[in-house]
Amino acid sequence: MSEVRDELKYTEEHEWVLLHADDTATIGITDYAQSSLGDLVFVELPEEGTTFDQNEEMAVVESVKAASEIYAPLSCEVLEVNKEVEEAPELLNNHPYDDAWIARIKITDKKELEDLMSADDYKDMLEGLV
Amino acid sequence: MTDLKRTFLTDQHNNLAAKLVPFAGYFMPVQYSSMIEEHNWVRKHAGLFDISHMGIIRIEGPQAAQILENLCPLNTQNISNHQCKYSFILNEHAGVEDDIIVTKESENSFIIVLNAGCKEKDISLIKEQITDGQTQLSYFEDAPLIALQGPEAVSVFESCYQTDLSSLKFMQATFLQLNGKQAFVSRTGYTGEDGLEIALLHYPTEDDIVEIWQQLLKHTEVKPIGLGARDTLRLEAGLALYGQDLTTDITPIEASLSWAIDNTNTVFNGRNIIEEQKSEGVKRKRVGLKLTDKGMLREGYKVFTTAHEPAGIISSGGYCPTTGESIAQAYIDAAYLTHSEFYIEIRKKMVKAEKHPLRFYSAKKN
Repeated sequence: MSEVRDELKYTEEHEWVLLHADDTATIGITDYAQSSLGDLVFVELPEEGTTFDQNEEMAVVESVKAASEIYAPLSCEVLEVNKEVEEAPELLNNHPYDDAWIARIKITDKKELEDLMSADDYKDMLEGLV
Repeated sequence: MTDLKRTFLTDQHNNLAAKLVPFAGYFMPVQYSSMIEEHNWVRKHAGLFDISHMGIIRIEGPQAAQILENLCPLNTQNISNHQCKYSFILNEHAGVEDDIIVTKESENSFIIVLNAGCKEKDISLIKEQITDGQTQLSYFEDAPLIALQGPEAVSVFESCYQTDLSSLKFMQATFLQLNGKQAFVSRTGYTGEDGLEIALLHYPTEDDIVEIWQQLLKHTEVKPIGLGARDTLRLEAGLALYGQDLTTDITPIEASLSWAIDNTNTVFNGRNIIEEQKSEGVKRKRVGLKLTDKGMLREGYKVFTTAHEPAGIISSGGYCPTTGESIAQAYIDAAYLTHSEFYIEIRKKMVKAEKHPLRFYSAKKN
């Protein structure tokens, strides 16, 4: 069973969002996402300072078999990307919630926070997928 | 998923917690643990694959040799008994309908292994050629087929079945009794390693193949390997995948497989086109590419010259676990075959790749 952490928010595209007090957030891909994709071998991250609309493609992760897009969970500006996952994509398989965060973002439209799922809702969604 | 076919080993895959995916109409294991770990295991030890989705037929009778020579660029007189030959079923344009392994049992009898996605078509192409009412095509429809591949594969098999395979050379086949059942065993594979492919042809039961599968897996050198690693293993070894690197529009000459054509056969389908391409050259050719920038090469990506002229397309690409690089097979236009550097368009960006021999990995000879 995939790990789902209570303190995080989630999207239907299997991204997690950790909200901070100053309207910033840290984002990544969920344990379910890394496990379905299999061994990750390449990650393409956005430039710092780039802005994205909600659901716009912002990064790509590639497994042995295929490339998968990561969509912006919220409209945002990228403050920082995690260079370590570019160097070592397997971090995403080993520690999807800790070391292998993907980006820190500044949230540009707080109304969109309503679109994110709670951990319980995400767990329900995963059960529906099995 | 109810319309997908199972193999006799599907329950075994489920017991091993394999991830099963639809493949060529079958429910097949794509991985058991991690594709990269499985790939590396086969390069060092021995991997066991269920490849029962592939087709096995026997063609025997007075017309058998002639039919093969009509469809395939091989000469049965130049193949010894028990020898396996890599060949193709060609259409009249010399396009590849399938790439196959033909094993000669005798002057009038041949066993052929066919790709899963082509087997029905291949069988009708062969049947159309039978006109004497005596030559027979037998389709071993549910025949289980497994592959044991890797540097330790043959020694594990020898100790498992108390047999000596030193006289079975690469690309030879034989019949062996395994647990009292006759098995067709060939020293062939699709991984770039030494190894065996094992089929039960005559009235096989699930118990027969499960017994062999479990006996082999009891050896600590052997792990089950999914089709995901099979693909990265064959890509590193420069082997063509039917449906991507070979299609009905591609000739063996274009695919850089002219070594597999026996010129002493003067009657096979598309021979005039093969001769023309050999003397006048081809419009495109299959080559290897290695990415020198960051990224991952994938099927369908466009190839350009360093001056940004369209130069071809990638037919197979991905990750090379042995070196950690991204590699590919690509069809490059003849005009640019002398170039050593190319650009690949990935998500609207141009990244650099260099030409490389198709074979990225060669097994160490024992």
